[in-house]
Formats: sequence, C-alpha cells, structure tokens
Amino acid sequence: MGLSGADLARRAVAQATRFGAEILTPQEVTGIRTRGQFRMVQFPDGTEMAAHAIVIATGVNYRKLDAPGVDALTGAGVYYGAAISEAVSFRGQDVLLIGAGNSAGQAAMYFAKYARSVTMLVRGSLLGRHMSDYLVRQIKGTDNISVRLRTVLVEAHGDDHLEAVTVRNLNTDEKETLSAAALFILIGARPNTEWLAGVVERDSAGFILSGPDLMVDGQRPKGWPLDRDPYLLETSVPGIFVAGDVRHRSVKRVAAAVGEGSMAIQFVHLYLGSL
Amino acid sequence: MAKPVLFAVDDDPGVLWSVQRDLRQEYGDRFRIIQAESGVEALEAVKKLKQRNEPVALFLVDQRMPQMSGVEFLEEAIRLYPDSKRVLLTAYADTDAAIHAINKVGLDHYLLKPWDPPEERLYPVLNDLLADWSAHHRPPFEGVTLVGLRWSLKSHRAKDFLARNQVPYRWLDVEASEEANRLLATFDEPPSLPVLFFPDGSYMVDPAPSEIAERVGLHIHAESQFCDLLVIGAGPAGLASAVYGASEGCTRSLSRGSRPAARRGQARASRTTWASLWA
Repeated sequence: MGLSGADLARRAVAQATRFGAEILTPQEVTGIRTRGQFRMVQFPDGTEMAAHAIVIATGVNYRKLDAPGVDALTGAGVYYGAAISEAVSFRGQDVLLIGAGNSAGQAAMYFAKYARSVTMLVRGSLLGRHMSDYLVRQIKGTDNISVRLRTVLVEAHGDDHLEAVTVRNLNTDEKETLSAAALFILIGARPNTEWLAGVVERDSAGFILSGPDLMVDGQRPKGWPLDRDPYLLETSVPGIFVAGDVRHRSVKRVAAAVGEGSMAIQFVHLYLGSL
Repeated sequence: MAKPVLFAVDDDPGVLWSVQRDLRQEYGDRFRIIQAESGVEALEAVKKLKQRNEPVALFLVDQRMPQMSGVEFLEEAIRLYPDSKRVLLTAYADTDAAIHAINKVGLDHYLLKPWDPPEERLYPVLNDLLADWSAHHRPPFEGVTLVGLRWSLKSHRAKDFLARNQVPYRWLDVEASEEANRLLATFDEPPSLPVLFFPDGSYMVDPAPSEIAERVGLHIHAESQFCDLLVIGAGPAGLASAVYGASEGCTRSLSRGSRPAARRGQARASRTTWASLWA
C-alpha cells in the first residue's frame, strides 16, 4: 500500500486546492524583502506579492558534476536527478548512476525495471551509510544492479550522446572505461539559496538556520527585533519560516519534510496571532 | 469510449443488491457497474471484458464465498487486469485473511461489513482509489504529443516538464518514429524541435516552460497581490504547509523553477486522503 512521489504530490495538490489554496506553477521567486509587517516576494518580471508570513520549502538540487564531457552531454545521456521520463528510452541498455543516498537507491530500483544493467558508482566504502537499510537490501537482492564502491567518475565520452565513461577506483587508482547509454547524477544535495543571501541566516553550505540553531551563547540573531526567541522553524527574520530539506540540520526524508511542513503552520499561527 | 467497469462480487444476493445500488448511485454516471454471485461466474465475465478490451477500474469482492474465495478470485482476475484496484469486503472475523491478502494479491483496501452509511464508509475509500486509478489509466491517447530528438537537452527538458507536472503526453522520437515524421511533414519548413501537438490540432514550436504551462492550463499568476501565508516550494514540505495552511486560511504555494506540483489531479480528495499518505 505504498505511495509514489507523483501520487503524493497529486493528492496533496488536490487537498490543498480543495481547502482553498492557490497553487502557482511554474513560478520562480527571485527575492524576498521585508516591508514593515509585510513579507514581500519578488518575481522575475519585477512584480511583487505581499504576505504576512512565508514558508520556504525549496528543497535541494543535485550538485553539478565537474568532469570532462559531463556538461556537453547533459540532456544527451547525462541527466541530473532520476529523470523518470527517460527511463523507458533506456530499456534493455546499460545505465550508470552516481550517488549513494536514498534517492539514488530508489532511482536504481526504478531503472532496474527497464535497463539491462544498472551500475551504481559510490565514492564511499559502504552503501548503507546514507541509505535506508530496506533499500540496501532491495538493491543487493536485485540481480541487474551492481555497486562499485570507492569509485568516482573521471570523464564522460560520446560524440552527440553518451557512449561510455571512465571511472577511477580510489583504493587502487586504477582507471576503467565502461560503456553506458545513460548516466544519472544524484549526488551532493545543494540548497540553492543564493537568492536569499542577506535576507535570512544560512550555514556555510547555504542551508537555512532556524529556531534554536540561530541562538549563539543564548543570544538571539543579529537584527532580531522581537522580545522573544525565534520559534522552532522560524528563520532569522520573524514571520519567515523554513521546512524540509533546505533547513539546516534537517533529516533528508520525505516523512520528515511532510512533518516539518505541517508543523511550520502551527508556528505561523502563533506568529500571525501576535501581529 | 466504454465506461470503465466497477465489478462487485458477493454470494449473498441481498448484499450484492445493496452494493450495486450504492455503487450505481454514486458512480453510475461515470462507471459501468457489473455484478456476479460467485467467483467462477465473475471470472467468466472478466475474461469477456478483457477480450473486448474494456477497462476495469475496481473489483469489490466478498471474501467468504463457497467454491472460490474473494482472494482466490482476485488472484485470477488481476492476471488479466493488473492495474485494477482491489477491495475486499469482509466480516470482522476475516480481517486476518484480508491482511494476508494485502501482500498476496496487492489488496488496496478491505472494508468491514456493513458499510453504512456509504457516504462515510464506502465512497471516501472508493473515491480515493478511483482517483488513483484514473490518474494512471491510459485510455486511447488524448493528451499532448511531444515530437523531438532523443539526445537533445531541449527535448529532454520539455519531456521532464510535462512529466513533473503530470500532463499526459506521449513522446515521439524523430529518429525512430514514423508518426513523428508524418507530423513534421505537415510543416512547409522543418520546424525547430521539440514541437508539441495538442488534441485540438494546434501546436507549439520549441516553447518555453512558461508557455507550455499556460497552454496546458497550469496556473502561473496569482488571483490577488496579497495573502496571509505564502509557501515557496512544492515538494513534500511545501505541499504539507499548503494543505495545513489552507485548511485554516489563505495560502499560496509557489513552485520555484519547475519543481513538481501536480495540477491535473481529478482526485475528489477528502479529509481521509491526507491521512492515507501515512499508510
């Protein structure tokens, strides 16, 4: 009785819409600013929208992989994320996947249904460090998935589309060329919060600080205007909240994100009640 | 196109009659209700449906029947209709069998008899399952046709955008599909790729995501310029905030960039839907 990501999104959208939420997609946000008690959100066309409170839940993106050939072949056999829309076109072919997190594990299981073989390239010496045990067991029990530990990508080869990659074993330093029709990159979750620089406090990796994480030696964050500590999930700007993967120290799991997203509303109410 | 089938099986004529009455009342306009008094009889009818290529959305089956139990029937039926939803009707004493069946036949739900009032105990469950079924069911194709090149980043992006926003589409590779070339041959000059063809005969050449969004009816601009709560991001955390926020007031949820936010849900979602996310 599991639930796929697409089903989760579809149901949540239906539910939110039914309760009267308006959903704008795709719509990019380029900045946030504060004007008195209002929190203004800026759009690429220069227009703004005002809200009393904001929840930032922008998640994370995969890091760009810096190796020769990767940029040129992106979209032509090299993909960031588990491009599920592409899975069918690699039926019966050999597929590579970089990453060792849960998303990489789930992608491997998904692609294994279509591809002849799925090879996971993992930098670490253990598959289970960042991956849930059930997935590790599923992967081990799937015949057409193989895992190469301590292995990194050196170069992607191909003229108009990916044909092979060179990988290097970190223990032996030996290089090897593997033929592959597709390479899916699922590593290095980056929060993509440059657009919030100078607005809310972030850690060195860009994840947004909130609640107790903002307190240094019992002191509230710089510029904090209120006579109370930031609420849980509240950022260094009152009324701006953060939930899910983009939050500093978040647990990178769907259930945790759903929990934080709903929990944030409780503090939004506390905040709105104090306006 | 034939209406999809809701198939009810129960050996007790009284129960069967009230099941079909309740189904007909709520779903009669969109689904065809078929009933059978035994698993054997039902299986014969299922085979005929399959031969005529008629879709079955749901099996609603009594567990305790002579000759063939509900689970035994489902085991056979789902070989022919692997995508149909399966619901078992059980008495309290049969819950063990039902739980066992969750794994054995991929049971979607079991309902304890009696299910009165259906508005509370039957329809919410079935609405949810039928919305799921409809979302995944692919009738003769009526969506967007995307014609492009397999190794092109632009084509990949268009495909990815449609998939993430759950816009039904089919992909035709210019290098592999004759139909793609037939479609492109209707242009005087070869167009830039990708090209999107819509069911009404209109098309778009190499459109930006925002243009596709507007054309397929995604909602980009806000109704007004002010709200109480604005959620940026439409992943699990953002959508959860939107649901809980909206249930108590005004919310807008923005999907930054092209992150997914399904718009096409025909789900007649109820409060129970959210709870089922935890199942």
